[in-house]
Amino acid sequence: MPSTDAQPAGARAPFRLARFAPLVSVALALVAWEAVSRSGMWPDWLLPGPGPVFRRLGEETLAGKTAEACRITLGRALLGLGMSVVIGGGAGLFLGRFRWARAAVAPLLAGLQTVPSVTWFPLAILLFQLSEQAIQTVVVLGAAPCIAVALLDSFDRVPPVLVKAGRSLGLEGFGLFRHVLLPAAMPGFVSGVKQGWAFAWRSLMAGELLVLIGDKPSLGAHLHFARELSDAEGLLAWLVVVLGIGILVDVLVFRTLEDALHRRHGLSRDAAR
Amino acid sequence: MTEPALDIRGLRKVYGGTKSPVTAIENLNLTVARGEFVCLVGASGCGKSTLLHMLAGLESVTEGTLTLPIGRPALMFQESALFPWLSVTKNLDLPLRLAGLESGARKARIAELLALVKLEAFADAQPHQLSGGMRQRVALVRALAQGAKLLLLDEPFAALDAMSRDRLHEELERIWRDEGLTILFVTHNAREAVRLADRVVMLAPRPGRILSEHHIDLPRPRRIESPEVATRAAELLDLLKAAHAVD
Repeated sequence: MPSTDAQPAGARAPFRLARFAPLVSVALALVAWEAVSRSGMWPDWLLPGPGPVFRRLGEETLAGKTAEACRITLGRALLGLGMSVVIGGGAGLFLGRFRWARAAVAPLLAGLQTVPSVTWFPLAILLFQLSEQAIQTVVVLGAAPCIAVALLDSFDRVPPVLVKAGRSLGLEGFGLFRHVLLPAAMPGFVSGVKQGWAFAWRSLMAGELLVLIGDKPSLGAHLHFARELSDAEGLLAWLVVVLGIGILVDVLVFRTLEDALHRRHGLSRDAAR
Repeated sequence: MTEPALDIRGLRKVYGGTKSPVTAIENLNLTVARGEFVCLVGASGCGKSTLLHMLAGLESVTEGTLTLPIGRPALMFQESALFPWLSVTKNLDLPLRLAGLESGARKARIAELLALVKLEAFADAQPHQLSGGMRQRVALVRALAQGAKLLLLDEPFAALDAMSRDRLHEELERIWRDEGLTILFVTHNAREAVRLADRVVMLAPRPGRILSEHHIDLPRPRRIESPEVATRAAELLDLLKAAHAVD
């Protein structure tokens, strides 16, 4: 791996208030929620404010339920995304190498992407019953084509001069692929995985609401039962967890990864001088 | 004259299918001696880049023969064609690795190459952290790293400011002399050609063909802003303009 630390640490942005600006969004959301809850449009037991919901979240967390639900759901998400990266990435690599294969399969990929993944569930449940396979099938059907297409697109966007440079160094075929096309496509691939994650996460949540498995109290299962029992506090508490996971994965995992790659490739805004 | 570094006989290049063929180069003959510095000058459309790409094996030859007795040439591009995901060192390391050098030998050679263009301090920088001039210096030594004795340069300094360009002219001239290279340098700038070349080959466009050849016997080191260089360049430009008027 080439070193990413060429940029001195001192070049990092200094402490600035702007870095905390996103917290304003959190405050706005909480204020709006509190306001709607107090407006009396719905009774308290249907739409409780942030206070009771976070208290409830605290209780669930102390009881170990939050950790258990996160473990189950994130475990499924990781497995599904992992399989999607392997399958979608593999397909993208293969189709990127062989033009004829790509021409043959591209319409299929495009078609798969137009199907809202939740509509696969009836078929998946018929084929696999209410099982992990049913959930994972749909997660992979949603995320893998998206990752494959992103990888293919990023192969297309490799600057021709870099390909020429590679060829002028004597690289051909697999060597050109390994030393030029693949690394040049990396930022696009990571963006594809990020998009794949968004698909996977949505499919997974839909799946957990539809495919309830007895001994697996996942986030979706908690949401489902909270609604069945008209437990609005619980429902909102689990919704907060879903939201939190989405934000954390986006910021901590993907933004960090993208930033690092973009900095290395000289694509980030602060790198342009 | 000993065996040449490059011999082009009856070269012809046609693009496009049988329906609407475009002749990029027609019956081009050119011999470059070992250690010679030749500049190709011509307006756009005269097949300069096509010629270099054919010599580098990036494009096929329609007709004619290319003979490269001193081996595979190295090509350097106008825009920075460094790999942006690799540090300066790794960019230089790749051609050395492809040449099958061992780790120790590669390290030593990289240090030599960086010293050649005085960029030792930027060994670990990424290309985007360098100025345009520095990037082209790295690209120049990357071409050298391929071990080629024949260097093909495709308007390598066209995008640089005048100061960086002057400096790179000096460095290129020094490296050419010290490393015993043969250089084929494409430019549309007649002054740059007179500043650098032993011989200037003027190309006419559509189809690309040789218009005339001129030995530049001004003593080295030359300066691009010297009156002698300016005068020779103006003569060459007049020839080019006359050729275009005939077109």
